[in-house]
Amino acid sequence: MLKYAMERILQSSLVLLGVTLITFILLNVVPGDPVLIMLDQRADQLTIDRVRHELGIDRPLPTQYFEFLKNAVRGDLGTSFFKKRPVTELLSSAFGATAKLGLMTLAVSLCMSIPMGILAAVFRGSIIDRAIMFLAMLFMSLPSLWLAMVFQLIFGVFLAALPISGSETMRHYILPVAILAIGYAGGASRLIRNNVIDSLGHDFVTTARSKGVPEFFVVMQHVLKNAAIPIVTLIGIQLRSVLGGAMIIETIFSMHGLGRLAIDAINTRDMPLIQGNVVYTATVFVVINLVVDLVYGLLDPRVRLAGGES
Amino acid sequence: MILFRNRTKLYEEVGMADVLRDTGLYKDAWRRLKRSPAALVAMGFIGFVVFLAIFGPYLTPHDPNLGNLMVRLKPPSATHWFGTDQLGRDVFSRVIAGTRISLFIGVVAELIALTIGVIMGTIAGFFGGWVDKLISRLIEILSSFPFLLFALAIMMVLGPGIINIFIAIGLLSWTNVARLIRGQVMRLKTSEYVMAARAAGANELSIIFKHLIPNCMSTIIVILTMDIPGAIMTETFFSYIGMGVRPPHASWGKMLSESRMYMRTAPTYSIFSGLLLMLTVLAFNTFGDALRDALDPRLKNK
Amino acid sequence: MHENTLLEVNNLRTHFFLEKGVLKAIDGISFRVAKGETLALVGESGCGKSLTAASIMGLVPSPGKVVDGEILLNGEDLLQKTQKEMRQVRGSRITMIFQEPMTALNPVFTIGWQIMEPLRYHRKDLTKAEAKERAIELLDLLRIPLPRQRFHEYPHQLSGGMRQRVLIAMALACDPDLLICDEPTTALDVTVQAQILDLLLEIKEKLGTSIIMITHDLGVVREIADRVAIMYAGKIVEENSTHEVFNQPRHPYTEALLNSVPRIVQGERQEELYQIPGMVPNLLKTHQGCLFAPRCDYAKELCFGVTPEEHLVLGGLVACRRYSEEVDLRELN
Ligand SMILES: Nc1ncnc2c1ncn2[C@@H]1O[C@H](COP(=O)(O)OP(=O)(O)OP(=O)(O)O)[C@@H](O)[C@H]1O
Ligand SMILES: [Mg+2]
Repeated sequence: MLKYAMERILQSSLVLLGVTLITFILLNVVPGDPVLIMLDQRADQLTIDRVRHELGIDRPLPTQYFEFLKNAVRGDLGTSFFKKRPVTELLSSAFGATAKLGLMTLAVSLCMSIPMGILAAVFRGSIIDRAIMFLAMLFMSLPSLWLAMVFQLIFGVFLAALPISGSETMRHYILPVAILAIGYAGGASRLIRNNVIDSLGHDFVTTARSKGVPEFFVVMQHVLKNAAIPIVTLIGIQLRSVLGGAMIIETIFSMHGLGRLAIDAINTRDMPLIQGNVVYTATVFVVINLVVDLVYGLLDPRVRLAGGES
Repeated sequence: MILFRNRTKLYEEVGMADVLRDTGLYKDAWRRLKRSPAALVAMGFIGFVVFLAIFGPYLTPHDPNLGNLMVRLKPPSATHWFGTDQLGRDVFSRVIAGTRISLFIGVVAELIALTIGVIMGTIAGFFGGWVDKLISRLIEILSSFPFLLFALAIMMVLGPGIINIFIAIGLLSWTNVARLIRGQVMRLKTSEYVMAARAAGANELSIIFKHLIPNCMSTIIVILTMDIPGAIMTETFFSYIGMGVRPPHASWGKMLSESRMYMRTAPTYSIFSGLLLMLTVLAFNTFGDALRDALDPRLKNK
Repeated sequence: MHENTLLEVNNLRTHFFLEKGVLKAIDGISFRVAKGETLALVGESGCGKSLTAASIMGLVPSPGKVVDGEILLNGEDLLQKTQKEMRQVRGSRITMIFQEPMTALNPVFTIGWQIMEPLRYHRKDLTKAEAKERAIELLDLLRIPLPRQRFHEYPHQLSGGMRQRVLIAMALACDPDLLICDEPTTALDVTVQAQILDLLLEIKEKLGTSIIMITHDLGVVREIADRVAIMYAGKIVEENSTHEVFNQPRHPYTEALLNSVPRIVQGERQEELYQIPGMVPNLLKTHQGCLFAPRCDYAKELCFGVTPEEHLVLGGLVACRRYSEEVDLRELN
């Protein structure tokens, strides 16, 4: 297990290195001169030179990259060009709202999708299965932008029951979480269903039945513990995509989260903030991946006890 | 073990047998597809949307981009079936015109992603070794990025516009395709008939193009169908941020985001583009799902 | 019914209701297993051996259904029992072990937990500690070294032969009356096969458990079985003592089976061993006459038209037209 963990950590560090390199190339090399994007070509040469110097862009690219990397490791992602505050500070103040949104969405969507998936799998082929799967497909197909608009209109305007802007109280989270969770529950319940069906087809299920184990325990113990492994992967994927994909929802509901910060940064062409945001979020992703892999290892005795390759 | 064989496994065996028989595959898939009414309805709807996308411009009762400021934000009426927008343009005509752009973006962006993915996946799976390691790492790195944020950053660097949407989506979403194709190619590479072709003296390229890619075709078709809705949704997002198609052109995403301001005064404005968007995505999802079951039951959990 | 009969299967029919039609996978089989006796169920792949086991266990998979017959365990008809009552029979009075020890155990539970599982449901009188002792005792009975240590291990830490022993231990946990073994040695290599067979023989002697041994391997049959039932296409074509079957096979199919066994075969898939000309009939179609007739060297025109009856022969039964006379003779005597 230790060897397995070490391997995973090493691999993650490599991926992070790649992430910073690609981000750096995208934002600093591809556009030629990032300052031109930032200043929108209207500025005079003097301003351009000043900004260039301020950002340290007048130095050779490799130097810039290693400087960026060195500072990043120390937790310094530069200073926001427009907000004039350290990028790390802006990011960590926005992280709270996004993390809350992400975790609540995850919890709600799992509470919906696990029972839906198991029920559909156990009664596969029946009308229950078909109804649940249709619902799941519908959930998956609802455009979140549209759903957000409709929910704002119904719950915020017509019923005036829930706040539709801000992220101050828990009540502010109800609508965003509902909208996101509906979307994710669709895909998740289909995946869980397939996994449970797969596990139900295993020989050990037949063995358990032949021992006289009641069907309830066959599903809840034998099947679920095996299906839990892919579900952990699923949780990782979902958490990642909520953290990275809540931008629309955060903007529509004016929540002070990472996504909205990113969109603000894009709109103001705030290069250091964009770069910081991409690297920061990617780091969170890589860490989530790592945690998922480690939990995976803990759940599966074959990995836990043996370790080694994959 | 074949003991107490269950139905899914049995179907899987049937599916395998089809792949082996090769020629019967598409005919059999079609037969299986026909049995699912949902898939047929979805297919019909996709056909309808494609028809709109192709012939839409000849069908619009009004010029979709020409407004009449005298009739702004009107509810549906006899002249304007879906009402009018904030510039007095006919929503019905714009929804139809938007179909072409939204669908086009979905299909082309996915085709780009698919092309890159198939090439990368085949190379990685076929040659293995360090090439495979390199591509696999690249896939891993690219899938560690937050997709939308990264796509937005690309869009910012490249500027708004349809072509750039293609590039942004295409550059980022090939990784899934590559991963699937890589696995499949690796499995096929060691299969008996590829061995036989090799023994008969076929060179690498002809093995790739004659044996490996045709055998991945069903996977490719399924991925294409299932990923198009994602690309269409991404377009909505770009439009919302203001990085979508340039005005005055219409796309579903653009109409949806523009209508947001007028939710209260003209609620019908947002309904139609949203509804068409949702139904199209639903149709693609349903059809893709049925297609996968019909063509390649082994793909189920991917 | 005989005093010492444990299991009596009468005219069992299990059919699959598929979209293409009704597949008569088991079509009217009858046999009995006496107390302490070992019956071997032999036949080609797909002839319905496993399904017979599933029918007895009450675990026929979904589109399948037992449509007719009786399965009497000590005179009680298992087919009349409710799901819940059947659950009490499974794992305690009738237990089963499977072909693939690699996959028949759940990878995420310790083997100790899995052996204790039947005790948990059928022997509620035992405390946890007692159940554990019982499990360790069973591991010991099956000659698994270091049972106390093995108890806490996971299936992937054991070899195939060890896992099969664990499965047998699990099946013996509640002292069953009947143990059904579905090709228990097919997936193992030859030396391990021999060990497992020896263990089964020993168990049979020590505990007096009746065994139904499903197998392709006639060597296994000769070694362990008291009686043999030969199945073909969902029917039992011959049933007799092991001695009779091997020394005087009566049904042409039995004869062909015996002839098609090579002397020594290692590591090869068993299915490939039988090289009887022709194909197994498609059970979806309705057939007339003897199902084996198209592949039979002795087939006459009559065989294609009339379904053969079961004829009493010395020590057993055979379903072949050629033995109608033998019955007549015996009846005359
Ligand atoms: N779930 C199922 N659906 C449809 N038909 C089935 C199913 N399970 C088994 N069958 C059919 O029932 C028949 C008997 O199957 P069974 O598994 O009992 O064969 P077997 O004699 O045990 O063969 P093997 O030696 O390969 O284990 C086969 O013809 C098979 O096609
Ligand atoms: Mg079998």
